[in-house]
Amino acid sequence: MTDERADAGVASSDDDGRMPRVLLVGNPNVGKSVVFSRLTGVGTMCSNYPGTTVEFLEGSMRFGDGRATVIDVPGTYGLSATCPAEDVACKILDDGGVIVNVVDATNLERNLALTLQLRQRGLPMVVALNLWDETRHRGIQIDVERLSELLGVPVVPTSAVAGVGIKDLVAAVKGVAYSEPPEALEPGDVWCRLGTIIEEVQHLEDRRHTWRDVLEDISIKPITGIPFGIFALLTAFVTVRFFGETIITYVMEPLFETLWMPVVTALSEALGGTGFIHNLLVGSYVVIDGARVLDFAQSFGLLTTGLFVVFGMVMPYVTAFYFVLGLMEDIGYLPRLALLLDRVMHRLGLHGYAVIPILLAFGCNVPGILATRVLDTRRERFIAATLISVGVPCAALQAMIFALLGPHGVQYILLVYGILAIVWFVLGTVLRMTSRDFLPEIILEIPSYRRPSLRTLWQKLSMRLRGFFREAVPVVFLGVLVIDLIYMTGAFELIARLAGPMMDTLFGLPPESALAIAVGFLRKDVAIGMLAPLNLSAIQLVKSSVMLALTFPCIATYAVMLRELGWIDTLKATGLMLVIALATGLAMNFVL
Amino acid sequence: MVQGSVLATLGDGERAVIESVQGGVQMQARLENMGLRPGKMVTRLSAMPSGGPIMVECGGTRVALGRGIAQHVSVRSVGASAATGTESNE
Repeated sequence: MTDERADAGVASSDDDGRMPRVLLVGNPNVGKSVVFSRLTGVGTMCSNYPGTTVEFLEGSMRFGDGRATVIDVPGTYGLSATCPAEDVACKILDDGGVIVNVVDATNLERNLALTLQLRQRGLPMVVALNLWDETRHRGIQIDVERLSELLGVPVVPTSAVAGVGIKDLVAAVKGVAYSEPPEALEPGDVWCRLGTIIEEVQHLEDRRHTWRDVLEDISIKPITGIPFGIFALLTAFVTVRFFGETIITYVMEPLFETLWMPVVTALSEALGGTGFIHNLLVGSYVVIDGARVLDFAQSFGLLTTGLFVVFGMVMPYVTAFYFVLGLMEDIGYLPRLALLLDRVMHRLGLHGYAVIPILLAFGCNVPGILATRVLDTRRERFIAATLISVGVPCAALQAMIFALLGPHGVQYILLVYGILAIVWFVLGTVLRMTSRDFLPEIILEIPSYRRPSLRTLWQKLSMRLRGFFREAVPVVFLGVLVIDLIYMTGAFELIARLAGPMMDTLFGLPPESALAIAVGFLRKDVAIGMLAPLNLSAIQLVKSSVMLALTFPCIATYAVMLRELGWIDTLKATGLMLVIALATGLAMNFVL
Repeated sequence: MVQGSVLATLGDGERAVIESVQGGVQMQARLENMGLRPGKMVTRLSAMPSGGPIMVECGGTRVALGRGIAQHVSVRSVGASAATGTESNE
């Protein structure tokens, strides 16, 4: 996402041609990113192709004495530029390089369509026949030598997940990089040529039904698929909570209490225990069980609450969440979820695959809104971003809701989610009906289930975490800083005094909760923390949790929305948000 | 069986040969690149309820298609053999 890298990504190879660019091209879901992570090491960057919203990965591999740039070109089925990803793929290819065409060996016919289109470009090229180990289980025999002859380029069988064939692939790339590029294929009847090649090199045997086929059947038939989907999502949710809580309780809290607390306490003493700088950095002392102590959750200093919110509370959840999401992605479950939910999502004016940004947003709204870029039309992006910012609680917010309502019982937590879900569908329906644009239908490949690669999972997780730290962490610190400063001016008490009576009559909440909701604009999790000392009843906590979730997203989300949607759409979303929050608050006060 | 039917009206497990794809050049290109083109054998696997997408298998690829798109693909049905699990090539 950084500009310099994006520029580097599209620059052509060195003038003398000594360090070629390696372009990984292939259909989606063929294990291209696993090949990418095998070829490259650390230092992978995710960039946007200039002027587009299509992202691609860029890394480097050892190449003779130096390092060659490796670009993971967006997955594409053809080169006819029928969608933004294809368009970008074409443009990257226009700049030249060595093509590594990653092909799914279990699905040769469809994959070779792209291969033949690539061969019309006359660039040096190697075909990686990936998922080679799978062909045996599936009774597929491929004559690799003959395929190579017919295509006129080297063909290397690989099983990237296991790391098999990668060395040969690298050798083949080096081989073609410095030799005469193969003659470009004449553009002709691709399908006819494809038919002859397949006939000659591929032999299919009858095969038995494997457990994987059974699982695939289960997950796509509506009768079994829908319960399976609910089960999968619940499992994912429970796993995220389990890992998140485990990291917090057994790693982060002990670290903070035993290692960081003495440092902060010493600093507090050095600063004299009071004063402007002290309150900014360390925060104020709170009284817990009669003792006057510093508390990471309540002291509100940059080095206490600021650090703890980021590393002690939010990061564990975000890490667990991205790990589980990456796993579901790499296994290949997400397209099935998109298929199952397509109908429901259409009612909200979205496509089935909008579930991916929405799922991401459950970790943190910021990457969720960034991921709406995968959606085709502007209108879909607006709807998805609005739905995310209004109704999808991020991991941090959920963690706080759990902490706050957990002691009162699970039913209250479910109530919060239930209310949010209702609001969400009402809002989505309204959004769909207010726009009469044509929503194109899906054409979506449902890939086979795949064994995930730990390497790729790790690479993806660390990239997403880096993004989270870059985008969200500075804002949390800024948030705590601003809250501190405003708090010192007494402005919050003013807000509470002015808005307080209204809170009571309209929503049945104590006046002080106005303060928490105002702070919620900066940081939701911090705001919910402010509700803790108010001694609210369970129902009041439910109400204020819902209100907090519905009103302004945190400032980081807001900044991203502004950047992605522009200020007119952001204002529209804000208006909707206010109306929805007000209406829901009134309705809750009336019903609950 | 029925001549001149479309992909959307096939039953679960029913096999058919694609005859033609009506619609824009872009949609044709997208379907072709997925392997759905005239002369190819497709098997309908399942359909989501209440007008949701249908899922077909074609040349080893599973593709989900919106019901409206599936209305635009003319097919000639060749019977319901795939439901029993035997796989043969066209």
